[in-house]
Amino acid sequence: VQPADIAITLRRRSPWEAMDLGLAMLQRWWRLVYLPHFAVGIAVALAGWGLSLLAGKAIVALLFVWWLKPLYDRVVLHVLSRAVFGEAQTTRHVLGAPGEWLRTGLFWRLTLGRFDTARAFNLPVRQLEGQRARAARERRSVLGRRVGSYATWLHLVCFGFEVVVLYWGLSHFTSLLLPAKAAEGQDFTQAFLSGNVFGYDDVLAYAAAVLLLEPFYVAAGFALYLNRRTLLEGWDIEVALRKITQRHAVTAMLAICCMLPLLCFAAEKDPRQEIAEVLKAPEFPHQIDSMRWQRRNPLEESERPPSGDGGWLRELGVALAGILRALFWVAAAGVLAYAIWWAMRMLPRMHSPLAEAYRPPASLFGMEIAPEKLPADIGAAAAALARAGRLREALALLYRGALSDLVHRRGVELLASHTELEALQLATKRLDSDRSAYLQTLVRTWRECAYSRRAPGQPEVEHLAAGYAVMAAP
Amino acid sequence: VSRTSLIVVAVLLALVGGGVWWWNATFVRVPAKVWVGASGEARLRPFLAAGTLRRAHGHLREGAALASRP
Repeated sequence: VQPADIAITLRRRSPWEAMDLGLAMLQRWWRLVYLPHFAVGIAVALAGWGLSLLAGKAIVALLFVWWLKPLYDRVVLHVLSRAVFGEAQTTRHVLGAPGEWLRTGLFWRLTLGRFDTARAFNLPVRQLEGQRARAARERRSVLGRRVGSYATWLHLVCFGFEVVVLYWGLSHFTSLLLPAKAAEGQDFTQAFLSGNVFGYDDVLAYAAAVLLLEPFYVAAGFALYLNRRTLLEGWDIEVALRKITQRHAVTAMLAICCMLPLLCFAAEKDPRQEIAEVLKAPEFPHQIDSMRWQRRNPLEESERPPSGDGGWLRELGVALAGILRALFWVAAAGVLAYAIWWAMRMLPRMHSPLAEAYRPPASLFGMEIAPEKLPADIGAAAAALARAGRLREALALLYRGALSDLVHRRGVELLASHTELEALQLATKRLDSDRSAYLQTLVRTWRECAYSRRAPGQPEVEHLAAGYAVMAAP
Repeated sequence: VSRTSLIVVAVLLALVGGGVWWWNATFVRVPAKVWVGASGEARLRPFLAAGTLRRAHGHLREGAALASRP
């Protein structure tokens, strides 16, 4: 890796800008990248397809395509890394020398190292620098010190794009290719439990999504890696100085010769002091006084996590701990959000609108209860209906009369939304024991008649009609 | 105000109060020096300091030559 040969403009970039540079790189060398990537990716997808046919489950192909992502990544990085340093690799070159990109720790990456959330960023350490084991871990640690979270975010964003945008979009497209009634009568739950929730159209859609998107992911991760090395190792300065030297070698020599007396004069000044004076300008990095929070009792040495090298087992433990910690925070945020939502529901509303004054309704439960719509002597009218055998009408009249009495005479605020039992509950607060007992009997009889289709006996209705005088009494 | 609402308010107040007490018992504000990154022109031109120094020595009339560097 020689920074002087690099075919991109090296300068200090923010991590997001660096990822954008990766996309620009892919835009420039897309033909070189995609051809070998498609060749390898399609071969893998076909192999996965064959395996799934043997197993009888499409999900096998889906997992196969997903699991072998580190393999495609190596092809993309192999091409891009050489293109960046001025060596365009044709598809024939790439496929003709598979050892160059296959023997780069692929076995580890397909087994225990598969679940690396910064795969594209870490890949150059092994594949381009050839770092292994402890040296690789230390190198990744140094490189990822300030951009590790960005690499993880890149991974998550690309995964989101892959699943949500491309896979969903393409699976809808591939489902158009199926017969109209292919999914008719399928039970999702049963298919999920039996492992047949994915079809071969899903495999096609997912493989297409991976083939399209994976180069973007690798290119962005690689650019992030290049930017980090540029910052750490001063590649930009080195390249700039080399270019100045190449372009102005003669001029520089002449200038140095002419300026020797000046330089001698300048040597009388203290260069450190001069540089410090220049760097005092507010636009250069400087320190300011501020306040920060600090633990009252800093952690003891024994409480701190060990920083020694514990091998892959420790890395696995750290990764699991990280996942658990993330899950814990997600769960804690969920619990907090639920508690706030629950509390908001339980608390009295701060700005609840003023309740409107109660207006007695003209009808309740589909029955007219306005006093002018009822006979003057309800009890007598109900008794007459009962004697005529019209028991249900008699009972309805008594019930309407009772409701009208409650609403219009006794000020019970009944609403159309109330049920019979709620109405009874509200009424008993305003009535004495005799009226309450009568009303309970009336409501129970009416409910049995109206909802249970149990017609009351004539004596029972006549008894209620006779007892209505209790309600009607002032 | 119902009894449930009172309990909810009391629990929330207890949680907030407990959190404030724990934070104050655990952490304290201390003065610190914080690095502020490059700003303005220095952010855009990595060789600004070099150019300024050279201009101060009279070796460079304008910063154009250095400003055009990548």
